[in-house]
Amino acid sequence: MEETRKLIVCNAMSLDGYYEGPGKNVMDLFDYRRVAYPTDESFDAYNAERLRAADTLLLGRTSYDGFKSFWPSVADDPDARPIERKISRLNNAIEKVVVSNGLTREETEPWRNTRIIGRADAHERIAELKRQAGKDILVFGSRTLWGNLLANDLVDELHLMVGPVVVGAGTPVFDGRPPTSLRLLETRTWDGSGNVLVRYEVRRQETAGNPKGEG
Amino acid sequence: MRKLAAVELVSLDGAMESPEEWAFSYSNDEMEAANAKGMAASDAMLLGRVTYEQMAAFWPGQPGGTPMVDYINSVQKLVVSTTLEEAAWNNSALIKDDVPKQIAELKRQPGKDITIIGSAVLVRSLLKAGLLDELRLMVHPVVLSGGKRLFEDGGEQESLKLVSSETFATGVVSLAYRPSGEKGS
Repeated sequence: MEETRKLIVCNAMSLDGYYEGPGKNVMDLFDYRRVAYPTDESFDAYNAERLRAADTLLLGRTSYDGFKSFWPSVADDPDARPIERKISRLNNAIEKVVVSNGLTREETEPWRNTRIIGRADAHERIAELKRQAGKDILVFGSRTLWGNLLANDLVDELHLMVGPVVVGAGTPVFDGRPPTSLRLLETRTWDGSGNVLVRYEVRRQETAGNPKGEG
Repeated sequence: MRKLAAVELVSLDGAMESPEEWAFSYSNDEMEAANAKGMAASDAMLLGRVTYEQMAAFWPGQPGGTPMVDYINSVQKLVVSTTLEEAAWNNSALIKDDVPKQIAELKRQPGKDITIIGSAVLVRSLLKAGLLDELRLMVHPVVLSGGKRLFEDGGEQESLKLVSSETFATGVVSLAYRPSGEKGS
């Protein structure tokens, strides 16, 4: 059956290819903003843009737990920045799908609009989701999950927000060389930001052809 | 003051080893024109020993008559090395000691830009010493997951300022950064 919608991975990455710094500290990717770009909201704004284009947020267990411990209450936090309140509302409203063998229904509180799928049939279930009509299926964070989906040809686009920071150590974004090729779709920069958004279409290696050609 | 700029071919995940194996198929007229512009603005190359030796083993044997070959073989080449005894390639000179001081002095001399290519160890040390003015990454749409990296694992945190970006039709993105002088906490 023809696929009717896209699975889009949207992640931040340091200039040296890291997903997070030492000790799994993701803030190492963003701390530079305090000094170099204090008003930069480009990553938040782009995340909100992607959420609006999606109706399903697909997450691995670690990212799901991390997001769920942070985002639900931000919508009503008067001290939060407006863009964060907006992301919180979008995150709360969107249907979440978590790939996990251990997560229980009770543990999804207060995000009741969460579906849990087991690892064993995750590929099949995700392929099925992609065949359904709807908006984008979006992945934030969830490096282990999307690395696996990329290797199994289930990712359609990779959107990386490359930050102006060398983290030096930590968890690399890519774990192994994926059997795919990437075609650049778009780059974007923002005033008052050192971020560069690079959007790639993911293509299967065997159909990739010459990067100079149309493939 | 002359600008000291490093131009590096890197993969999306920051690897830089053996670009001849993965980068050249992404080159096109547009990139060659940008490259020619870079050559015209620069009258000296600063290289680490490993990159110098690789280049010295290749370029002198290439037939002249193309702008790239003629430029590389004739331009002044300065090699930073404590172990190399001589730099025999045409118009080469060694920088053996007092490296930061000599490079700072070089930047004060009149002339065009000084360009570094490859030379990861040298680039990292110049960045650390605050002597690098621009780092231009030519980010290729490939994931290598292995090989030598421009920024080695376990290095220092470094915050940079984005100066400009340019996108080429083959999917290469050229990102120019200026060190901000801000170190990570």
